[in-house]
Amino acid sequence: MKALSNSLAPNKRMPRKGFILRDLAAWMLMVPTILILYFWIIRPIATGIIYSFCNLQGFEVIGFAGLDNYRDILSDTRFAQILSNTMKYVIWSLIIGYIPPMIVAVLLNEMVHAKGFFRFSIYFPCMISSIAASLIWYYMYLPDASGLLNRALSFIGMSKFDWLQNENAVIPLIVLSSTWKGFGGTMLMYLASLQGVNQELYDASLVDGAGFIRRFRTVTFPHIRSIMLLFLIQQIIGVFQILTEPMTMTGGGPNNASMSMGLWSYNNAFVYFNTGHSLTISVVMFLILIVLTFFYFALQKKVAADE
Amino acid sequence: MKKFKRIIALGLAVTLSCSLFAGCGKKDEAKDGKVTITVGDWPTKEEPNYEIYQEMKEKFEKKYPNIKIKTDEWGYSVNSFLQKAASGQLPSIYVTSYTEIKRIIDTGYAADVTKNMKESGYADKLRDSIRDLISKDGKIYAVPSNAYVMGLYINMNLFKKAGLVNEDGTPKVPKTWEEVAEYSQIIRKKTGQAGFVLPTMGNCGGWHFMNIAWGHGVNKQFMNKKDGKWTTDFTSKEAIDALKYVQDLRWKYNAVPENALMDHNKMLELFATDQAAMFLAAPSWHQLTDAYAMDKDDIAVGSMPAGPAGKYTQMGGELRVLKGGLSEEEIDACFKWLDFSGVSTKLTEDSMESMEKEYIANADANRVAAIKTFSMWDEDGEIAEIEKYRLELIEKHRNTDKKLYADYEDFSKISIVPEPPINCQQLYAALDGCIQKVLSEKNADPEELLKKAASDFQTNYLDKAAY
Repeated sequence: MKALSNSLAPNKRMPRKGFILRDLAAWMLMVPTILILYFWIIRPIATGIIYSFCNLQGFEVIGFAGLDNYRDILSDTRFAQILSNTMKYVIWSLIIGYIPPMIVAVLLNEMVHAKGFFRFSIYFPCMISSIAASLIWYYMYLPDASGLLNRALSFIGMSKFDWLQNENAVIPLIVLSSTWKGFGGTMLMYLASLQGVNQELYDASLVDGAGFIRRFRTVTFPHIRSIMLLFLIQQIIGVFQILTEPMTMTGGGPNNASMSMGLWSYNNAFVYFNTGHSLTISVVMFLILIVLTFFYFALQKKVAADE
Repeated sequence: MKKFKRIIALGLAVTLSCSLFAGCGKKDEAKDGKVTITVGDWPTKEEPNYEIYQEMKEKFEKKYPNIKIKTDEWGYSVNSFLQKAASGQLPSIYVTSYTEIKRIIDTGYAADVTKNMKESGYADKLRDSIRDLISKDGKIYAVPSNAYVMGLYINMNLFKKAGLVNEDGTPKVPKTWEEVAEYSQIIRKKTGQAGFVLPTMGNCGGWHFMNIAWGHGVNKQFMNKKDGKWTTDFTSKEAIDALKYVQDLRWKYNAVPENALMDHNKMLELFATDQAAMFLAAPSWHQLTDAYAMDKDDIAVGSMPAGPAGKYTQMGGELRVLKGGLSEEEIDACFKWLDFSGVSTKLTEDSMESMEKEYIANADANRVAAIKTFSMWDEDGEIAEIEKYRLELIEKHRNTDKKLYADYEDFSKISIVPEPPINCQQLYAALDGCIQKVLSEKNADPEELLKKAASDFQTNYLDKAAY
């Protein structure tokens, strides 16, 4: 360890120029990545944060606004409702969409026949674009007699339901549709991870007489625990920014009941042309996600230490 | 060998870095003294007027050898405007509607065209209300190309089935909002379809609701200005009555569809496919015949229904906007193109030909080719030459029964109201929410909803308004 840290320490006798020149080829190969990182990630984030403190006309800075944009957004009467809606999206997505892909992956892994068919069938909705998937579900959820789900209800003798226009049901219903679409990708990742489990461990557990549950608890689960944690934070970050689904299916309605932070930010920029407020909402979202990400790293460290 | 590796690495790095910047940079700098302007909203090859525009371009470039026209099929949409504008990709001339111009002027992406508008006499001939709409601080930022008022679209198929036609084949146009509800009940009973459809999403709900509210006697601006401060004014008894009327359309008269999350396109779809008999709009909606293959002869348009306080409607129309930051030569070139294509006060042989061909192309495409539009010119002054010619063309190229539009085309009975003075899109959004709620919940309280919407709108926008 000591030797390694010595070799990484900057050589005091070697001038800086030499340090670059020594690994010139490596530095050169890194240039495009650094540029991509700068132009597509660092610069937009930095510009967004700076602009959120400015008065903007379109994307032109016309003056310094101080904390005005933040005061406007945080004092907006809808802020608490929209933040709580966004949290609801996240919580419902964890309830509906977090565990099922893992269960299906485990089941698929245990299957002997028609594995390929099921794998493809479950992955299929991932290939549809978000807008198209949302529209399919919008038509399924139609609250009149022409909606597919209402037809199904009437077929079994039940009365119609108002689906997306029910303020309490709208968020879980949107989450259900987005889970249907995104489910396959996550399931495939779990499956790939499961395929990496040493078969001998399964064989050994079978010899020891372990059943499905015990096998899952002692062999499968420890193996996929870290990837589950990764998906947890990925899902929270992804769903926190939900935009396409509410935009296509409800426009944030009824009466703002499905308005998310992402859609609010979008509307401010592209409907009201108020880019300052839009960027401020994005920065607020960014800060919340940063906190969650730190939490994730801490959790990951703890898991690694436990192992 | 090491040197060779470095050279390869350097080459790779340069290539990859350069690829990052591909597509950046300014293109098509005029080097030959020619002025190049880009004209937006250019028809696609599939559209009926594509050939006409191409021909017009050729003739124009022959007449003005120093001006080169580049075409851009991009048409204004809220979802793409800001990106296009911020990246400098806006066409030199683009088309937008009256409802959009205020926010465009505020973003600075519209050129000041006061000089050309005054020199051409355009500015003096316009109606005051239209000139106010396109002006800010005494400067003019757009060129109006037409004006319209909203009316009541009628699906003749459903009206015939419901027996709501006169002996001469014209529809029994509901004269009041009460009659809209009454006729809708008959339509529902006889055809099972919705009598009336109101959009509720994308700020369209609030926009349409204005017409109903004014008819009920709500403050035309929905707000008041006193001592430099704006306060909302849409919680009056009249406003509550108007929203209650919308609620009754759903729950008392069963007049509207059950879907309370209705966007504008869905509304057009229901009308065109005989699932709804009436909606509010300004003619002409080619989408009905183009996208849903509705028969043009099944469409009739009536005048805006009246409420207890009278008959009020919104004015709309199309505007040509010049991109901000154009040079004087470019602005001149744009105005030459506008004159040539018929967006002008002057009538030339070229513009006469362009205008007539457009009517013919619409008729060939089986669209409703000609409906009398509302004049955008000041009635007390001299009516622009071009307007007289337009009226001639409309009569000449009508391809539908004139009687079906007679009620709409009588503009003498209506009062025109401009949009609310500030934050009007935000106001529409707030009203969208109230409309969604009364259409989805039978027991929702209109008074409570309007009070909440007004108090939110006051805190979130009017209290912060700088003007």
